[in-house]
Amino acid sequence: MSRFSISALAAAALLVVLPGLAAGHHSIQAQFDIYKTITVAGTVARIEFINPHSYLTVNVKDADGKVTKWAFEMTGLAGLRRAGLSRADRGGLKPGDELTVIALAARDGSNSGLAQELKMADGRDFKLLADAPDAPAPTSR
Amino acid sequence: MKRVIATAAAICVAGVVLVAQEGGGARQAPRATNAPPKPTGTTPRTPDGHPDLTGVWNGLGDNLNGVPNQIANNGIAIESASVARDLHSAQLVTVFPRLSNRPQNNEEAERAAALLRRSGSNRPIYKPEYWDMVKYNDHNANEEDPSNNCMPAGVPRAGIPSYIAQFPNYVVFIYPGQGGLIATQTMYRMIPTDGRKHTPLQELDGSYTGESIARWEGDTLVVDAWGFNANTWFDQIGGYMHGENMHVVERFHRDGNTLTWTATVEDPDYLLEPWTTTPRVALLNPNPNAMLPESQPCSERDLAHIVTKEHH
Amino acid sequence: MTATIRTALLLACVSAIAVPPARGQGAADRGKVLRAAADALAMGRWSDIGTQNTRLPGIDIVNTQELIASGTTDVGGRMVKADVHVALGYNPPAMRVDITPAPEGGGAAQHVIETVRETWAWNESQVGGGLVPGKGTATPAMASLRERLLRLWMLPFGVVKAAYAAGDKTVVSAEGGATVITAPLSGPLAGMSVRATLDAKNLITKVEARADNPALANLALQTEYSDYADHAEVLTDIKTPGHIVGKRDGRTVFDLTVKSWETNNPYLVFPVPPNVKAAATTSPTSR
Repeated sequence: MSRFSISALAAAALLVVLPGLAAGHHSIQAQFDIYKTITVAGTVARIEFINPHSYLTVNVKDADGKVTKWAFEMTGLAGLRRAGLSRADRGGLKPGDELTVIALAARDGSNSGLAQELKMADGRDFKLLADAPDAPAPTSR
Repeated sequence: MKRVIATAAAICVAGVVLVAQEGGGARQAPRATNAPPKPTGTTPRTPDGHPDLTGVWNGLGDNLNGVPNQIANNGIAIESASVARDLHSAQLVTVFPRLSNRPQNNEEAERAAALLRRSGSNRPIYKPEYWDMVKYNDHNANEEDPSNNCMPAGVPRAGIPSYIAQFPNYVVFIYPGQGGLIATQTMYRMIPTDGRKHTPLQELDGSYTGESIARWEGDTLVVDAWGFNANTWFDQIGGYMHGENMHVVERFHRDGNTLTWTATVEDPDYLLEPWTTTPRVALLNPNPNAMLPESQPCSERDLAHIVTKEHH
Repeated sequence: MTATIRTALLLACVSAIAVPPARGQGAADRGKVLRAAADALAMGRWSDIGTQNTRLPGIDIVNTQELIASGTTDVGGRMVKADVHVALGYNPPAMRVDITPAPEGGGAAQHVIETVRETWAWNESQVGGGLVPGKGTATPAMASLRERLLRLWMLPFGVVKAAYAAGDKTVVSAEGGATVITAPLSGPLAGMSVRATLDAKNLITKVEARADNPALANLALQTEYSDYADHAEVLTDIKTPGHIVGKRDGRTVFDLTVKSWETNNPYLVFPVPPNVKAAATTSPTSR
């Protein structure tokens, strides 16, 4: 059974709004279809805060029990950290956590997407859309 | 017109409220212009009488990132809500006030940003035989940019270091890895100021940051570098390739809490004439106790999935 | 945040948005029409990527463009089939037009490269000729300066730029139900004006270059634009015409169908060859 679904959004929909996005070097639009979202359920494998984009790797098990890895790009490091996504013991993600990822679809059909929302099985909900202009990484400690 | 005024007023008030709410945190004041910041404070000096460039210089962001800085780096100063000017050609640029507060989506924001950071007049003049190649590099930057895949940005593309440490006989520059416009690894340079001369160019193998020596000309630190490999572009945008005979002279001038930088690129093989960047002005981090945080490591995973040509 | 700083900020904000003195309906109409024309082309843009606390207005982001078209054009008084490759820029104003007529009788196509920049005009034997010894030549063509510069200001982007630059000398009017923008040109083109007609979507469909100074009457030209779209491979949302027709006194002098029009400020430069600069300073400029 397919564990993901695709829903097309009207071009006018502002759900994909990411104002002030600290976009990676490559255009988001060159890699993702900003007008098409996908929904993928699985478990957290790893979260990495790296350049040019942070990554959430998710293990997705199909009906036969075969596991494929999905790589979700995330942007807005400052926003992610504010949302508590860095330390597992501060409400962040840890390997094995069950979740559903809502993401913008990869244009090339690969197992990836630009994560917009992480709905955890335990009820936590991380919205990765920034309401305020997204700031680059903090510049001092 | 009334709507424009109301919007502008709302923005102004919001800006004031934002600043008013900042606690003792090291947050920069809101800016309505991208014109170079005016210096404040005195310039500290080292015992030998030179200005002390030591400091964390990312007050306007590491590598002067973000679209307003990138527009300034490209030579366009948006001086007010109604005046913008190309500093290189002196041409006025028409200003279009925002008529709506609706935020842009990724596509709108990226397409606008790409145009905004490359509309200035200050371009290096290559020999005509390379014009098509530079244009091709730029058009296909997603595939061709040598520094969007975690390789070093090189010099002068890395711009102004986020941290400078000045010692009696050398300076250390640290450039955090970039993740905004391009994706690069952290870069450092250790540059002698002890008066030594360059190694003859033919004896150098060529590296990403070259061999640098520095000297003082009055209150300006002049950094002279050659011995580069050909694996970098020499500015953030534009596809500006170069050869192994590239020679770069950077000038650093501190005035209070500002650091002004220019770089002049000479490349007898590729350029018709030397090219000098528009002066860039970095701000000292407003937190006097600022330390550089860890720069995110770079891991390139996008390139295989890029489908279209839109780029920085 | 001291009260003093807060007050100063508030004052700064208020002065920045101070209402300009009332100038009557004309100024407001002109502003609205020019803005609508600029927005139809997507010339004024802003972006908040990584802006932290800065919030800037939009600016005119049109500088260099490259267009490739084919069709027919007047070469030496005859309409011939040709490929046309145009590199242009507005900062500084410059254009390089490379016209390659279709070869006749199996012979090699002879192409003509007509270049202009600011106050110099020249022909290149090959692109960039005259800049590097042994790699082509440049021949001054100052008599064609105005004709070549005019091409820039008759393009839709040029008209909008000229209209803004002329300030309150630009006139907006309604003629036959359509909005018309008339703007005087300046510099070498002083004495000429451009008159653009907008369609219902505020796109410029027709531009007439008129000589206010009778001595320049030979420069008069009319251009029609249609089939606007984003004709670029690197998408920018800037709209460009897909079909361009030029006429002098009702006679078609070019009819071009656009194959591509790159608008993301590609690398196009127009350095003036030294011999062209030298010739301009030692001989009188064209009338």
